[in-house]
Amino acid sequence: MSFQVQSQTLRTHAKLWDGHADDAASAKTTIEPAVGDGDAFGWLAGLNQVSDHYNTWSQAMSVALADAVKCCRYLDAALTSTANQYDDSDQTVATDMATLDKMI
Amino acid sequence: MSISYFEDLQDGIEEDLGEFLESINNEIQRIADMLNDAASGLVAWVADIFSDTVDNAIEKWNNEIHPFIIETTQDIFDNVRDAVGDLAGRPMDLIDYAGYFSSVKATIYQPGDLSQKMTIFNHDWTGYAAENYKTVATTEDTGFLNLSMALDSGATLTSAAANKILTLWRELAREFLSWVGDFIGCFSKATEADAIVSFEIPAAFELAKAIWNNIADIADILVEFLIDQATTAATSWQQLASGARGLPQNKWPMIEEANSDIMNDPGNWVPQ
Repeated sequence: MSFQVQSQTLRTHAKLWDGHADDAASAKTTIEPAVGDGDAFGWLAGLNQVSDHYNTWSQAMSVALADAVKCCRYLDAALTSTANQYDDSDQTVATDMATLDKMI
Repeated sequence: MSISYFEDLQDGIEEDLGEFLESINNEIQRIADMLNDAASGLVAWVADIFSDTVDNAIEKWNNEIHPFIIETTQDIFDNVRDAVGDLAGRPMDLIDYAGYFSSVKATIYQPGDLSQKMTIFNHDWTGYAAENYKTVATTEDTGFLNLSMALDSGATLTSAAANKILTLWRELAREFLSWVGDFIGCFSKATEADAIVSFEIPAAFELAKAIWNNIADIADILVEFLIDQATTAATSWQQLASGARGLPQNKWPMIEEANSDIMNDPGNWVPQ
């Protein structure tokens, strides 16, 4: 029995997460110059917590985007691996569980 | 002069202070000439030569008014520079940062991306791994929605602060000469020895103080705005920093190991 159609569905989802990973990685690069530069708000902002809040938040956004990349790369790999497994065309292209496990 | 950078503001104010110094020196020269002329009888009001008025005026000028002008001019320079220094910031950088957050917000989340694909997935796959995947996928998708909302709020707050700083800088640059002009104007009435004798130093000092107080008022407006943005606005930096808005706790929803273990095992995936 062939699972070609079903595995294609997994590949479609894998591609979706691959795209999200690329977008999140690109987003992280885009916002990087802004991360932690609360000083740009000026001295008065430093006295009134704006700079600190901004730094806390922007650093958290950068970490969140890095984590998002990691999770999306994992989902891409896990779904692709399962699709490869079910296609049964070449067992070696399936990623072993230990490798997947280390991705997140 | 267009004010976009703090250096523009500083340069503009320094230029205005330069003009102010020139005007005040002109006034000093004019009043000194007027008193010299009166003392030497070169002007029409010769009668004053024989009265105490000119002597009193010269004494008041030399001992009180002239030292006051020199000292107060220095105070104006020092206090204005201090007050302007408090307004330092890099709003053009903030405008760039807001642009980054805003552009990223638009790219990381596309509504409907996952839900449409999930309909086909539900038709093709079942089993323990598929159920886990659906839960994880929905959580991750919601993560992108929340993250994009947080970035949108951050972009709004950042650009609002940049615009406020620029607006206040431009107001300061626009008004500064007229504030200084009020101080210089108080000496223009001193056209005769009588006016020097009756010149009120405390009133002139109040005009001088008004110059740096006006700048301090602009700083107060900025402080109030920043306090509001930091803590009490509908969307505040405090809410964003604590993760009370947008992404919960500001942490990305990581995939739990239990879920990934199930998805990693091909035996848990059941094609329909």
